[in-house]
Amino acid sequence: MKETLPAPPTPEALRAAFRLVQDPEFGLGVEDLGLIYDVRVAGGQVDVVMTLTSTHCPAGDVILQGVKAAAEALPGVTDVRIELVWSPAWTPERLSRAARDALGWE
Amino acid sequence: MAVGARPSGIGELAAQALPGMPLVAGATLPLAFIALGLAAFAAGSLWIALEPALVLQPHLHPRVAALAHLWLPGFLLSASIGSLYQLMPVALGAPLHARAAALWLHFALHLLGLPPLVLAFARGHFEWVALGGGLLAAGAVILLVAVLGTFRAASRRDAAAWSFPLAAGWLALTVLVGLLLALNRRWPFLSLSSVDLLRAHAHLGVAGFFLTLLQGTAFQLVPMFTVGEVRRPRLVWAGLLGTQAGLAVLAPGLAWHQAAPMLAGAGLLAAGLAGSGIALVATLRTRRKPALDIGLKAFMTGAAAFVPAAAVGGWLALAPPDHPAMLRTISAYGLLLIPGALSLTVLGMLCKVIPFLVWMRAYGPRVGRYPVPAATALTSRRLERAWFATHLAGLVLITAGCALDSALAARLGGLVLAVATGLFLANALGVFAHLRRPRLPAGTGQPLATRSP
Repeated sequence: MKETLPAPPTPEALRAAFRLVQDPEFGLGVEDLGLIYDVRVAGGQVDVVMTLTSTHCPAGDVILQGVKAAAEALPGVTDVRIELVWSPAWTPERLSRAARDALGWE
Repeated sequence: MAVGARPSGIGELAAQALPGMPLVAGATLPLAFIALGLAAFAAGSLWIALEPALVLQPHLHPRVAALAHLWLPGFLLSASIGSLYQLMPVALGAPLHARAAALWLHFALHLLGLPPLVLAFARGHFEWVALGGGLLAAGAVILLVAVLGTFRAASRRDAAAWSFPLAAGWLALTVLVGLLLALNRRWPFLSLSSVDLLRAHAHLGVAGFFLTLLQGTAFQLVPMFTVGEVRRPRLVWAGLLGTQAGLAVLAPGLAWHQAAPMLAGAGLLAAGLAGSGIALVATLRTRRKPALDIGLKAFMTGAAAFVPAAAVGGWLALAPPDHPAMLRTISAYGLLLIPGALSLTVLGMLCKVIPFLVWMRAYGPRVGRYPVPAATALTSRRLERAWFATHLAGLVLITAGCALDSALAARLGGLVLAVATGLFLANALGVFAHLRRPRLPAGTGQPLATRSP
């Protein structure tokens, strides 16, 4: 009998998973921080375009590996590619409303 | 392979840009230096609590020199080296240019050099002081080579980047002068006055290493932690250059006891401090987060404490050497600088660095797989607030006691400072405990994939 693979997750489901991948300093998920620029799903293949708050973010490795692990953990994902980009550069304007409220930012 | 260099086969991560700098020696080496610094901090504070009258003694008293070395190379330098080894690759955007074995050798030399240095000072055995100082000097050479190699490999060339090689160079000069001083006390061979050379040595260390490093790293750390932007970059440069030029004139002026270079050097140093201070305030004003946490408050308070310290230093440069308040004022100057400006900036920085490094080791590998606490959640806000308030109270009391020659205020200040140290260490130990027993948020034992988003 042929085994059927689970359906791949939607970009929205992936973004929801990325909300739980936290930046250590801010304690906020990378999605709410505005670090995820694009999520594409083709079959089981997931492509994520993202950035970091600075080019020399000391937690960069951990955050990237965390995004990769969070995507791989979802049913239907067979491969994850992460493209790290610096353009457009991240600015605090990319924070979600919830993130601004959580940080008490002006 | 350079420490912190990325191992090959990182997976599908894009290779066109470095995604941040990995932990230096798995964060263990920076944490080891920081833990050594905190142990010296505990010992130094306990010593002041048990013998508070020591701060009323002239700064040339052997036990005062021992206490100053327990506090400066013991606590402040160890903690700064640990932070530097982690922060420099991040700031420069290049892996640390040193083998892990060399860095651990530096730690061993530092660890082995401190006890003879401090104990021999207390007993006036200068051949042992020279031995301890020699071990520290050998470690400083390792640091200098690592810093210069990393700086050469990096492309960043602003004031923050230059502060690393400059500070490392001044540190090497500081330990060399200290070593000469110790050898000269045991086997006199220099024509210079030991007291004058000692003052040059102290300023090389405080202004050359610590202040230079702060004038650079402040413009990396403050925008990073507040998500602000560096403002007045020309003033940042002017501040750093003013300090460098000032110290290059002041140190020989002190060593050869020449009034004109002493005054000119002190003036340039003060101008450099003012430049950096104005730029730091302008940078802080760009922050998005209005409230500062305790670490940043302590860091900024320490930076502000350089202002009264510089004013007292200016008075010392202008006052006649036989002024009746000279010795007391020198001690107050030392207190404003050591438990004041330097300790507050370093401890404030540690409020951020320790939780971050511990988080990276304890929780970093779980990110994306399990829910993890934020690095800022590892500390106790109450202990941090209590430490900061108590440290400030102790500092004011002990400095006032020293300046006004009040034994009671000095004793009280010593005790209050020791309580403050206990509060800081209790919080730091609580953070370090996460290394042994990571604590996942309540009810979050399941992997993320099994939880509903």
